[in-house]
Amino acid sequence: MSYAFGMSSASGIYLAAVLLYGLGMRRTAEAGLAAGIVANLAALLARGFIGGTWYIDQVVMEDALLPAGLAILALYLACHEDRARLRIVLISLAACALLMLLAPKDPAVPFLRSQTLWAPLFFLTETVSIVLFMAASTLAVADLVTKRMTLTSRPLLLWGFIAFTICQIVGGVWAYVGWSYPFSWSDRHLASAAVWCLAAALLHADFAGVGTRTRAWCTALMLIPVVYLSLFNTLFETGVRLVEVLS
Amino acid sequence: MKRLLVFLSRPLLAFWLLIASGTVIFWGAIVARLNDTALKGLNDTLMQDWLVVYGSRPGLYIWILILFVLLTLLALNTCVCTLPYVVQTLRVDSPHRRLTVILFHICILIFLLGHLLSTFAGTNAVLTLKPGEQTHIPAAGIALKLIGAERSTKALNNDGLPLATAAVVEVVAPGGREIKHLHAFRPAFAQGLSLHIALKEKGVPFGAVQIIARRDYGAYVLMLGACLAMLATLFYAIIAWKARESRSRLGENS
Repeated sequence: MSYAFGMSSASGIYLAAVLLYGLGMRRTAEAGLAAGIVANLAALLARGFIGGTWYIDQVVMEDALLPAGLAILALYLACHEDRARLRIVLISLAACALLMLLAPKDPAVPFLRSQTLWAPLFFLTETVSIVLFMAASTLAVADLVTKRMTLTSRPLLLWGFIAFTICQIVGGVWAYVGWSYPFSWSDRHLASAAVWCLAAALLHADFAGVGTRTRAWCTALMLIPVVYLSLFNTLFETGVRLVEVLS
Repeated sequence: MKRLLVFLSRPLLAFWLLIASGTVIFWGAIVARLNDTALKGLNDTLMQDWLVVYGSRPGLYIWILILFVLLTLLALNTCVCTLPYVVQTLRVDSPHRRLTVILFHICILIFLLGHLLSTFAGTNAVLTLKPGEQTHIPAAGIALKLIGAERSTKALNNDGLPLATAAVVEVVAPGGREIKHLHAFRPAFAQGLSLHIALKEKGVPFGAVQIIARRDYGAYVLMLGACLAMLATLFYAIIAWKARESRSRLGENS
């Protein structure tokens, strides 16, 4: 199975599962999510096998792992009968799956500086935290739209923050052994630092006596750096490719 | 003075300082995206030397100055908030959860100190050497001689040549000479310097190896902070898991 075929199939299955959930076929939708996760991970495994060698850095491709992460979170919420949050996570999943369906699927090129265990550790922890932050932010957007303030989820932020802190440490070690400096003044590292600061601020909101509406606004706005960090390049390349096709 | 301390000790100040820092750093990320080469110059140049070159372009660094002020205030706020919390914690019977919170805040201070040191102090030299060549690093007071290099059979540079992934160098210092073995992702340490193979894919001539010799005091401070932060995270996860288990047990009993 090629990566392009596997990823397109996985995206299609995710979109179908979201549609089925919308039509009230919950069990079928959950089975679809599980099938999508299997197809997604299989596609990534296929991507990492190049010329008879496994390149683990090509398996942990962050934008392609995001839909799998969101689908796992959706299944977790479905198991806990948390339907209100599940609906919002499914919307994020549908958006990510649609993006990955349209995104160009270029062949993998191994990158020498990623041929260390620090790289997959970094991308895995970052994906976990991005999934949790993305879910927390979209829940806050839903709260603001419905004006109910019932969906805000501190555990998502807390565990996302813990995973992101580990990710930053692992990333710092990888940067040090691979590039010689633990922090790079590049847009990616700076965007990571911005997300870390915003998440740290939101964790202080309870003790600081910040109002629920202000907190929801800050959590919702965190979606901008989170999407920039995880999906900006894919969004940009997909946009360019779509413009080329349409013109 | 007392009013200032009261102001600095407010958790609400920490919240807004963190929001402001996050926003300013994101502004910096956009600046870095639009001026990739200029900002990346800071990776191997000290801030004061970088400002000499880019001083005429405030758009590149004004956010760094604002961030510096915000982070200084945040460091003060963290100190002033954490100290009374430490005193309170000493009086609590079961302080484990509080201790992890304190440890996290100490880590933040260590990280800020590490970044400050990395930004303003240290030396960095990028050397391109062929086997048998020796070069002096005046800022470090040593010379480096490349004895030999090992090349990858798979990884190629942009010119299609095999990249060096291991090297043997001789460090010549006033106190003596020592042989160091460098490998990809495994730097060697000598005379307070870390020696890295650059793994660079552009502009390295045939047969040559690019070596980075770096004296970065901040990196050691950051490593200490990283170890403490990992410990704090581990403790926090264990405590949170135990609390969850005891909550579910209580639920079963009731």
